[in-house]
Amino acid sequence: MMRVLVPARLRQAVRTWFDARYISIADHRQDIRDALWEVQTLRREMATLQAEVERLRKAKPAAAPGADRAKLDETRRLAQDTQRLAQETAKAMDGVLQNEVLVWQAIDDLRDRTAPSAPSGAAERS
Amino acid sequence: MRVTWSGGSLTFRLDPEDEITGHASDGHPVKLAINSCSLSGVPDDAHPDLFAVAAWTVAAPWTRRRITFDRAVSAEVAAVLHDGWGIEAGPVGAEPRRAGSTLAISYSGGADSVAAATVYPDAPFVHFRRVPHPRVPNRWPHYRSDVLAKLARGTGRDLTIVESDLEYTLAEPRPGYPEHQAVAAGALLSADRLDLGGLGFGYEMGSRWLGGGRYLLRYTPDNDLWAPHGKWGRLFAAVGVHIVLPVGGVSEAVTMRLALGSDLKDHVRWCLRGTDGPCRTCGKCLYKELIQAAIERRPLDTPITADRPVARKWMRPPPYGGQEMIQYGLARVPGIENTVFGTALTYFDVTEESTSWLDHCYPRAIDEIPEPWRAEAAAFMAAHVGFMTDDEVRQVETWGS
Repeated sequence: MMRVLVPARLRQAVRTWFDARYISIADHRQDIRDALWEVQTLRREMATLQAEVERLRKAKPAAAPGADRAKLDETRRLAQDTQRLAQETAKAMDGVLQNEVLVWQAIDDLRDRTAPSAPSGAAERS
Repeated sequence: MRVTWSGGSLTFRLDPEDEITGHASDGHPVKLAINSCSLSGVPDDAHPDLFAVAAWTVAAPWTRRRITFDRAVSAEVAAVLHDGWGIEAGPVGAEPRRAGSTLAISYSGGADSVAAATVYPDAPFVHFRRVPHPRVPNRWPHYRSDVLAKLARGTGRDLTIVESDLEYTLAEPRPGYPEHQAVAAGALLSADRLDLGGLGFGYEMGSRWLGGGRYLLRYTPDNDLWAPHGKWGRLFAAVGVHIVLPVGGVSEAVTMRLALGSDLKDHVRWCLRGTDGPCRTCGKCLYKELIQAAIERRPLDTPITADRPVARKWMRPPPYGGQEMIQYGLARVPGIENTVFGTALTYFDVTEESTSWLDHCYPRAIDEIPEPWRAEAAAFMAAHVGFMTDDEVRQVETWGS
């Protein structure tokens, strides 16, 4: 290694020029402090957002559109079932009513047969 | 068939030979839903023949050989049932009912019955209103009989409304009159009270003379449903309530023109579904719109497109119900080729001249109106419609041949 003797004034001048190209230590400190504050702010915001996401995720299945759809599906299923039942009942009722007509027809026929002497209805028009 | 009346409630029991499936007088197979029905607002002391004929309008399709009424009928009614239907009717023993002096109109509120009402401006109305049957599930709630009854009340005419569930005795094809004449059941039972000698229906030339609607598509001078000498005509005459067809000689184009030009025009409603007005979307509205567009000489105004089920029958070849009116419309509605009737147009070669007979009155229809009411109808037709020429008469009498 070679040591060169440099006059103090020049050395001072060079060092000053050199230092001027860099931020001061005090500034560095401030910057670091600012960055730290920024990070902490972001962390707080992050925590808030995470809480919000968590809240929404929890809220979703309980109330919002999903629940409506489930309710709608249930209503639709009920309506379809009710309609089917109504139609089947009406159709079955048709059969019951028609059978009732036929039952009375059979009863009248039996009554006529068991009482052969009784007038059997229309045909006595002369 | 065994018929029992209790007030306005009718029950009929099938005899061994009767069956659930029967035939209406127009040949249509009909299935019985229930063997009871009722009419409200009718007197319970009407002439026994009136009870008998009212019951017959309901029970006829299912009666094969004989009918037993709960009160003796006249020999005249029994004779018509025997000669017209081959049915043994009894017991016999009542004096026949004498015809009254009043002509009432069986008023539905449609264009045809409004036109019939216009011919006789002083005639009272009898309106049949459908009500649900207490024992038959109502699967047809779109039928707005309440709206029609309200419109009938709005006419200001002397009006008798008879409410009845008798249409629900019919299971198939759907609830409706077992016989077309069942619409008159209430009027028949009220005939003594109203002193009826005749009952006017809105059946027009298509139904009376051209075998219209779902029937025959040929000239039908001896129409069993509506001719005075047909079996129904003779049966009604036997109880002193003559069938009168005031507009039996004119087409639906004329009845619509008369109805929409009459004092009753605000009460005309041929649609059974609409509440504030015609629904414009049912098949009947489409058919009537064709006629109305034709008489007003304007393009068709309908929301119905070719892909709608009600338009389907116009995609198929003829015959069509009311075919004479289809031809009339095809010949007159501007731009008809670009409507749902475009397909139908390709099957006919029609012009205004070839369909102009539908603008005039067929004179034989006036001749068959009973004497007390004939002159008024003849004068009306001469003044407002005009009678057919011999050539036009020939168009009627060669229809479908």
